Amino acid sequence: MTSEQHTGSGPAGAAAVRLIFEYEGPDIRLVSRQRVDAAPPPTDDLSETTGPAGSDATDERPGVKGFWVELRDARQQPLYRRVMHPPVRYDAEVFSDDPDRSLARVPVDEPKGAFAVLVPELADADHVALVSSPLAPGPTVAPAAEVARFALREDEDEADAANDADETEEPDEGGH
Amino acid sequence: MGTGDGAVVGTTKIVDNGPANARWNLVIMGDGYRSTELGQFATNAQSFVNTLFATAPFTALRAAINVYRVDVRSNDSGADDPTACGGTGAAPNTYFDAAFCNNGTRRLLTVNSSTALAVAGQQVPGWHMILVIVNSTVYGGSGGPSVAVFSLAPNANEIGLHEMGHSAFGLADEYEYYLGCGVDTNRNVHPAVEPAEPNVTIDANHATNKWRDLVAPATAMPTTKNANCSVCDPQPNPVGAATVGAFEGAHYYHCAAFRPQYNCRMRVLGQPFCAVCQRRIRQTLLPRLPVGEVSTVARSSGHMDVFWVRNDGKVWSNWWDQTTGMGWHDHNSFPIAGSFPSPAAHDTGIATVARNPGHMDAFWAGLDGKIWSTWWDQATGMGWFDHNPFPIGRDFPVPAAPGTGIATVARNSNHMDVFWTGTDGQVWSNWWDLNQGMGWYDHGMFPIAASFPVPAAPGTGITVVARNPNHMDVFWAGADGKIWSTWWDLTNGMGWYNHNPFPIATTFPVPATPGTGITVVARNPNHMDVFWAGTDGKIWSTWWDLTNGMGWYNHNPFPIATTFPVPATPGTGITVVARNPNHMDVFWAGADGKIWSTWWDQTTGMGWYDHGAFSI
Ligand SMILES: [Zn+2]
Repeated sequence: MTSEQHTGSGPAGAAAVRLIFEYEGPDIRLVSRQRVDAAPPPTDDLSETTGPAGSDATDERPGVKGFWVELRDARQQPLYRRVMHPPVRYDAEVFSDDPDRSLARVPVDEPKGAFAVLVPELADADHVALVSSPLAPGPTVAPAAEVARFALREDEDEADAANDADETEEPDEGGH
Repeated sequence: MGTGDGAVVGTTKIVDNGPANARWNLVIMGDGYRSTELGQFATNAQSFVNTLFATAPFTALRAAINVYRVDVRSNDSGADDPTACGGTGAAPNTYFDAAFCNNGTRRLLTVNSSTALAVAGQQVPGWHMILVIVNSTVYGGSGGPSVAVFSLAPNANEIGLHEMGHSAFGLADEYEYYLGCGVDTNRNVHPAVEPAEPNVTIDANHATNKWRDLVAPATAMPTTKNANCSVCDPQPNPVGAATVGAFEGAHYYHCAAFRPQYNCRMRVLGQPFCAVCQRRIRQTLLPRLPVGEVSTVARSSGHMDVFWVRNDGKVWSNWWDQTTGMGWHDHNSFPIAGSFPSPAAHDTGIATVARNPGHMDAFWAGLDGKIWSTWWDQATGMGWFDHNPFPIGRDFPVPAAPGTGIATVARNSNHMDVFWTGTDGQVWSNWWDLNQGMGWYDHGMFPIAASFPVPAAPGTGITVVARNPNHMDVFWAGADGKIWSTWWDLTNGMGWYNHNPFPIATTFPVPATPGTGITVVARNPNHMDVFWAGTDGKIWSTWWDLTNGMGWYNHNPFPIATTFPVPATPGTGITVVARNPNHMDVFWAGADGKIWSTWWDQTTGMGWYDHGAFSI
């Protein structure tokens, strides 16, 4: 129909932040943080967060296991959440010709690799957190809890108490 | 080894549906292709794209997706294939260091994911998913958290689709074992902790399960139980392949974890994605679609108004008038309100009606789950910008279903009925009448039947026709893939609650495709033709006539053309126009992005099968 319909794009000036992490065993390192003109996936339900009443502790969803990335404001309230297939894992997926059992897992002794997340650049955002069930070999049974926290902007690194994560930066990433 | 063994040659946008910052961007790179083999890589990348767009739900969402092919040349061809894993011992020098035998497993084919992330970041900064195709015919692949890898072996594209399910959409594995059935010893009972992923659960309770809105009331929950938790459940599927329920055995455990359907691509390669996985993919990609559904209304034969929803959460319009200087391109499209108190849902249906040539009403679903409306009147001070949109009911007992179709009809110029589906799988309605005390807020909205034997399909289109001012017929697709209907008549004892909804045919040779549009036309007050899209990509129809022996159950649904050169886009809207009682034109969207049409005429030799479908 009209040409306008086909140029319909999201909100003008969509801004997002891409964080790239490398991991070795349970250690997750931020290696790159870059502002990009892209549309992050929509948020998952934020209402599932149940922190203790009246407290600001919202970094866990009791009784839920897995892995998600969360964007929070300075009062620890989640602004954005995206559930991921757990990226840091002590196994790998393998494929077979058996049409009924074409997928399986094999244990991996030394998990090592890189992954990226794309989160929206929200005005109220204070930090991004990785929330995960314990990163360990074998069946995981425990609910997820925060395992790492990073500032969204480089100039806020000093003020930010990054948790377990050993955060380093490539000096010329980000360009701002 | 590594990036010294080749170079990035360049990037080609092989599927272009708009700017990268508005779409979902898939990046396909190759490893182990020498520069003379980059033509082969282009063919392999296109082959994956063809597979992707032939796969539900991506077929219907292709307009949300850009695909970029990044050509990378390697000094050598293929991938490392160590003899330790029974390989050939080949050790080519390639850009991404593709290698089989990762972790001692031959088929575990990996690349340097940091290099892949760096190249994607340089070439397509707004990427969402990275695939690396490895130039080897040995079957293998791997799923990294952001980068999936697969070879050229037959069906290796399936690895790419499954790993996209993990990496791009956060889906869990649905298989009920870890190392393998009969191998595992510590995978009997899933721990009592709910997985965060949308497609596996420990909760098989009908009332609380996280995909309960997709489960038909009659489906048993759990749908299957594993009688022996020390092994994989050997029982075959006791219900239909499309039945959504809770099937025991999932997420690497034999018992106490449940998957939504008996099978799914997240359980077995080559199977369709289950309804829950499809919904997750749709939810992720819908905001990236260029526009929502389009609704048109002709106020007079020389004037047409078109309405659609943009990703800014506003309903937009443009108009065409046959008067010179007032065509489509003589003026700009515009949002139909100054402000939208709740943004319009990206995937909402939109319905419009002109009760008279000087007045239009528009209806859509908001992100708040309410049905919203606004209107335009040619009278001064009653334009689009002179008032705000409003919800068409004081209370919505049940939110509108995501992606619901919306239908409206003006049985007379002072009365409107509106229909949509709720998250409870029922078809809901509200009405407005110009008469005092009969406005939107003067009565409650209501489901249009006392009970629905089968819930409405999620995201179904919905259509209504008033064959006469005192009678309405409503049609929608059920979760069983059948087209359902019910009707209302002003006559006493013929109201909504005096009879039950019914499927409009005894058998449906092919189920209605999920999210199909549906349309009905009454060429005369005693005859109705209904149209919808089947899972076979064809447009299907059936009809009803008041004449004895010509009812719904006296004949079967049929495809309206002998061949469809291009399948219909699942989720396509469908429009039918009866220019006169003896002629119908039908329009729908093809998977090629074009509008397709065919027609029927009562004249001999001008029936459905006397000519082909064509793109316009
Ligand atoms: Zn998997």
